[in-house]
Amino acid sequence: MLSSYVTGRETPTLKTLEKLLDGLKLRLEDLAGALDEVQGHGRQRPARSISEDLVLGFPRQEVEKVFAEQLARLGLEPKRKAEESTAPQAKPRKAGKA
Amino acid sequence: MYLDEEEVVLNLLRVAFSDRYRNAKALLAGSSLALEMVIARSSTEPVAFELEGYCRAHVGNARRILGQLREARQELNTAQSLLERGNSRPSFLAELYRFQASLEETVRDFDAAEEALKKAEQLYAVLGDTEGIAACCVKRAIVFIYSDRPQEAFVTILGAVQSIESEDLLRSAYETAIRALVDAGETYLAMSVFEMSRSLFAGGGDLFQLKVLWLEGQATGRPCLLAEARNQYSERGMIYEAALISLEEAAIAVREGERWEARALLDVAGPVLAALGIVKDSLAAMLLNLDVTRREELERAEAILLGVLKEARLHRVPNV
Repeated sequence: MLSSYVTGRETPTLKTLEKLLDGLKLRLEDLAGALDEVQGHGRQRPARSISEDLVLGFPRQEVEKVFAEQLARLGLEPKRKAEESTAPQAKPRKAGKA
Repeated sequence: MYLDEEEVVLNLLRVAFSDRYRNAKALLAGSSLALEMVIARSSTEPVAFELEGYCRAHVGNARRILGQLREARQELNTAQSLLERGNSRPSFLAELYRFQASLEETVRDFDAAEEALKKAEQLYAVLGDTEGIAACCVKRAIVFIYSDRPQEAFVTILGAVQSIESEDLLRSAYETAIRALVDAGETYLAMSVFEMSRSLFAGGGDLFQLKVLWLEGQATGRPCLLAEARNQYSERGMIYEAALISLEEAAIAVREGERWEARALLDVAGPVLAALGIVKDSLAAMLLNLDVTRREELERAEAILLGVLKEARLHRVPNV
């Protein structure tokens, strides 16, 4: 079935597409963005909403700045922001107190 | 007791306490020695009572870290009665309340922990000790995490971070912040803070490094990190932690349809959890007839495992 989607013989239903994206840990917007890039439509993606840049109600950049500055103040220079390779690879889970 | 002798006692406590995360037995030995020195003076001066109370507070805290919870409570109660008799050393009393909060957190009595933290904070506020207040905030955030309130935990840490001067406290604060972010599902920022904190974390003791390895496994969802952390805990005989990690790995395996791997992990974790009274039925047996092609069954199994995991985390940490 998957090969028929790859070769373009069939197109998946929205429900199947959602399942595939779920398995890939991606969202529909990610797929749309990738299609735009591949097909060279050059359309601008919608600007990220303010809520996307908030972490638990705080601006993401501000939060990172607070943590980085305190490390620098104590002489513990922060390393660069997480590289792609260390970005989360799996669905977030609850964590206990180790 | 003369001032120089008091300095010796306080220095002894300071040195022993600074190594608490690496060597809890040394903390107990150092605190006990300090206590013996104070008792040997047989002074009836109020200052001597307070010094004895402060030593007992440290002895109690050391026993708490070593898992001797009953003895820890006895020492802390005696320390409280001694320290509350005087009023010349409010900083001693504040530290005692923090130790009491740690004990209550260990036995999962969150209300009592909060009560003790409030008393400590009031004293630190009078003293103008912002670092002391920050230490209370970090402890409170840990209590929030255990109470399944990651957002409040994160906000609490965020408000305290800029007042922290000690590297030890900062390490604990950042580790707690990352844990709160992981619990809240903010794994990208969790990893961002994690990456910038590597130098800070590198200064922690062996057990802290192990804790960080586990945390990284949770944040990234990489089973190899979790497996490594589990193996290291097992090698140290810390079976409770190893069982918790097995449960986390099993939940990932179920989510990915790896039924047999999940069963193998639960075969190891199950007996430990059963011995602690956390589970009655065999979790591995639950997976025996699981139809991995049916998404609903996988989701149900994962939900059961996460429920057990939540209960297991709240279980009192056994003696270590």
